[in-house]
Amino acid sequence: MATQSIGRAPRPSSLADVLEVVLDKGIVIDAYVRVALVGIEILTIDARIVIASVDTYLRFAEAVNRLDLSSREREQVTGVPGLVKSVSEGGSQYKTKGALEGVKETAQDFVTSLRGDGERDEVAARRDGGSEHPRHQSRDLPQGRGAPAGRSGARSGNGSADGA
Amino acid sequence: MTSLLLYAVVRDGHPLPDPPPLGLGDPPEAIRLVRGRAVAGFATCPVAVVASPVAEPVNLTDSDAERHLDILLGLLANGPVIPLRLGSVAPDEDAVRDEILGEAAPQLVARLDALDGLVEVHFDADEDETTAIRAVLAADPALAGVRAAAAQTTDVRTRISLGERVADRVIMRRAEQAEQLLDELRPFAIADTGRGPMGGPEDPVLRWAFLVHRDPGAPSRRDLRQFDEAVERVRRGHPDLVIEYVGPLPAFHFVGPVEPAGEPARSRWGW
Repeated sequence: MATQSIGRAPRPSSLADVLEVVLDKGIVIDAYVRVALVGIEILTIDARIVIASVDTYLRFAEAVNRLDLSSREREQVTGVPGLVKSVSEGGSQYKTKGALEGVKETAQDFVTSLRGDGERDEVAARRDGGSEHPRHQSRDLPQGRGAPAGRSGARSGNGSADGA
Repeated sequence: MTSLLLYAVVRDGHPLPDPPPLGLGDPPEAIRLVRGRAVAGFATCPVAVVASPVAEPVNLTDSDAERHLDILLGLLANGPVIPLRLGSVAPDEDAVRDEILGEAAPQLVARLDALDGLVEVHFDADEDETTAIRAVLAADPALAGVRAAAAQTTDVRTRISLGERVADRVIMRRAEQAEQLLDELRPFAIADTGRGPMGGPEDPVLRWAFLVHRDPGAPSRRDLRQFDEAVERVRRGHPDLVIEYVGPLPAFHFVGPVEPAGEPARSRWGW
């Protein structure tokens, strides 16, 4: 995401941001007014996988160690610190973040409905199930967000510690 | 078979851009107003629906989502707009008249009146993750012990536990940042609400929608220009944050009842 140097953008800059603005927004009128979206839905479903989990915690721990490493470098300058530094800072964080960033936008709605911070639409709900009056649908997405899943994973998941 | 793809509810007589833009679908056709019959209390139907003919089956793609937004933005320039859900399709004009321009019309025009002159802006703030982690480590000496322990071991659970503790503190930090940003911006908006997840370790500091008057001169002074200036102050005050500011957009998040100007609606803030 590019930083906006001009004060206000008239419209979202990326497709992901456009989808975040448009998808599942607006009022639903009636049962037979229906929706046919192809491709877009797939993108949002994929995005759900990205939601924070035990991987997040491992990544944070890794980041902590990296900070530790770079402070030690400052104490005992050996080898090629510049190279080490650039590898440690440019490596895993951006790889992970970059992969997440693009789809994160469209994951927002899912997570919002899970968090329950307000009026948000139900996300995975069938879009043709409109309410009688034009208003937001209530949310009923059953699955928990990543954090609880991640925590249970922390107890049971001793397997895939990538980058261990 | 040709159906109608619907974009928005507008006031009857809402001027369309000239020439009217092409709608969604393949092949796309120009948008137009579907006008209703007279309803109780009104000589003519006070609202109309912006629609374009579309061939069945309708398959919408990402670029259609972009066009949908552009159409709404074009409409918003000429008056209040209630966006309809992307991909809403009606079999024909009569269906639109029955379902949207019938009994619901008085309610819809009341909403349009309430939204007249108001626009939505989106304010997003995020912080570099390394910066956040550095800050929470510096603020909590107790973490140093955990960090040392984690550095000594290859045990995944220890590492996860460290990561979790750091993540929890990052979340707390972002929550505090978010509260602060909201304190700085809310005085300049008529209403506001969250637009996305906050409170997870992967989540940004803030994703928020604000409702403001489009034009200056409103008694509350909660207008776009004032808000622009407030955002500028926030940018200067938080140079460490990556801030995105988009608008004016249709009031996607405020098509429900609008709070009276001057009293910002407090959204539920669910961490």
